[in-house]
Amino acid sequence: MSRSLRPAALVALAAAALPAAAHVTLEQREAPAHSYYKALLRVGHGCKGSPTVKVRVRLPEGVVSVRPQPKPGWKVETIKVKLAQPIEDGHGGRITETAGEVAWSGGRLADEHFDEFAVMMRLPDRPGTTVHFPVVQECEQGMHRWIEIPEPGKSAGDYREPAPALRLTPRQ
Amino acid sequence: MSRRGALAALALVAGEALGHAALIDVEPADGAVLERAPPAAVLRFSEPVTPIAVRLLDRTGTRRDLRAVVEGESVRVALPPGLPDGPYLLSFRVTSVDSHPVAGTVAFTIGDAAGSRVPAEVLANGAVAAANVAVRIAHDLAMLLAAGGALFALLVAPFPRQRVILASAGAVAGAGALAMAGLHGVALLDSRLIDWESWRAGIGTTRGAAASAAGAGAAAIVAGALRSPGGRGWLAVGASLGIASFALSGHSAAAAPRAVAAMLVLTHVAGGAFWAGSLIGLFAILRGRSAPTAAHALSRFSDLGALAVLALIAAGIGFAAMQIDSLAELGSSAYGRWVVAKSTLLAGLLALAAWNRLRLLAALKRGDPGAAGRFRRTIMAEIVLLAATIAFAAVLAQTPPPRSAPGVQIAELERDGYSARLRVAPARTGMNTIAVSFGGRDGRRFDPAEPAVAISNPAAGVEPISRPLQRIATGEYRLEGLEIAVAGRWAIEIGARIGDFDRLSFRTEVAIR
Repeated sequence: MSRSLRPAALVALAAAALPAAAHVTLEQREAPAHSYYKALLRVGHGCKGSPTVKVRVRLPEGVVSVRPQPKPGWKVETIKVKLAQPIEDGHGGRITETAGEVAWSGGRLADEHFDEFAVMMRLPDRPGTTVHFPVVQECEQGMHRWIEIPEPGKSAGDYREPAPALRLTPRQ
Repeated sequence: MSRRGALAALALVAGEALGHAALIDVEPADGAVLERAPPAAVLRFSEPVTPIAVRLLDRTGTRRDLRAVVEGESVRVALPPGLPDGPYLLSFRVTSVDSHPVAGTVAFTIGDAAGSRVPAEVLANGAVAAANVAVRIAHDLAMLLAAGGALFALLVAPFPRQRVILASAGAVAGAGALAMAGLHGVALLDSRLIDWESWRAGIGTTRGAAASAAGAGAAAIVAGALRSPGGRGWLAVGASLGIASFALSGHSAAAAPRAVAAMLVLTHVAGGAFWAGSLIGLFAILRGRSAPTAAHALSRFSDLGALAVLALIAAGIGFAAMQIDSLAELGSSAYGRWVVAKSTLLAGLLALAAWNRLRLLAALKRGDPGAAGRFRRTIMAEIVLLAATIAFAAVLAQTPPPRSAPGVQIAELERDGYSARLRVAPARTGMNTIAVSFGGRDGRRFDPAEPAVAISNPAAGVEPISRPLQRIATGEYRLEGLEIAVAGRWAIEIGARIGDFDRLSFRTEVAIR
């Protein structure tokens, strides 16, 4: 293969191949503030070989209009929290509580398989900040808590179990 | 392109964290106490890894780089043969196929865990402590007198009543050495003063080795004294053994580097012994013989004596410098204060000795009547001062130097409104206790979930060692028996969980001496 084609081939490989992610991450890591966003959590591994049986994600503060995507073989539930300050919902009404946590349970994702868990939401209006989606991944044996938030000056790669992160860009 | 290269390229393009390998199992297990040294350690991971570095640290801080062999998903590390008993840290750093590093440390102990600790100089009760000091003072005085008197007889001149003086001093010194070893056993085993089992045990420890040297030296001096005039060889051997016994135990045995510490102690004690013995010898000569003979002996002594004093002072300063890290400690620690007291006495003694030599030696040579008498009285004064100095030195030998005194590192940490108060004691190499107090956002003590402490020393190549903290009371947690093998700056991270989704992390550094 000639030199100039190799980078292109790699990009194609990247696009086509499934990444072997061991961290739980969001597929889309940047989104405009205050927009509707589909958070797609990718779970690539179980717990040291044990299959995943429950995935819980805590949504960042200020997220509203939360609608999880159902999955065959899994039961999904939304746990609500009261908002400290009621906010406008954009259709003339007021929202006093929102989903604090979404949990999928009752299924079984083998360690050698990968799956995605999706939640639709409206992001908070805080452009320029990074919000985190800490995930508790429970397996038949053991669990992973993807809850480490990097300190200033450090990145997720410096941590063993970082929380999935989303960067809020300026509104569009 | 190789498979590894393709995956690395994928990582670059996709821009995400590819998988970490995880350590599933390790043999020997973390925290294990083993009967004998294992031939190898085996680390089993969740996927094949490439070892970058594997190191073994022992309690002296010696670091050995070990060879690691990959066997499928395991890494086998051959351990050096004949490892002595004690605590060890096995520190490893490997990379997954995707070049993400995984690191950690495994701690294990070979042999009896309790025996791996150096026994502390714990004096169980007041009676034992008092007996210890009294016996020590008596032994030191007698041994210095016996060895020093022998040296004087050999190097300067024989003196009247030499046989009686040396034989009785030697006998007292020998008995004192045995008594010291026995009392050490009593202190170690925490028993009553008169308990033959403890005495026998004490004689078996390192104090016992020093006691043997002292006892043998004392016996040789007694033999040499009694065989006088033919016992010069015995006297020489006895003096050497007796002086050497001072370097075989106590603080000099523990200071590093040991060879230097031992040399300094030997020089210091030899100088002091010669001085002590000479005072007695000169006193005896001045009482008995004619003035010119006394003057002759005194001149011969003066040169050697000056040398002995110089060696004494230089070695003493050197040894004190090894035990005390800063001049401030002279005032702040008990050890330092005794050093100052002893040095003050010594300074007075030197002044008196100098006056003695300068003023009275000339008078003695001239044959002044009464010069001998005046000389005897000043020597008497010198003897008293020197005895007091030796007594102070004996107490000094029983006092722990600041190097080994408990020091404590305390840090007040704060994160997101939560607080943690960290205390590391004694912050010295060896066993440490970590105590943490957690405070909530309201300032009150609270219990987080799964609190753990992780310590690491990147400069020494020690990857993070993680241990859970045990709950003592609300908000109060402790970890005992954490072995920190190497001195230096250690990074400490206190981690805990609040609820299911929030992790709390406090980081700081502590200095371990």
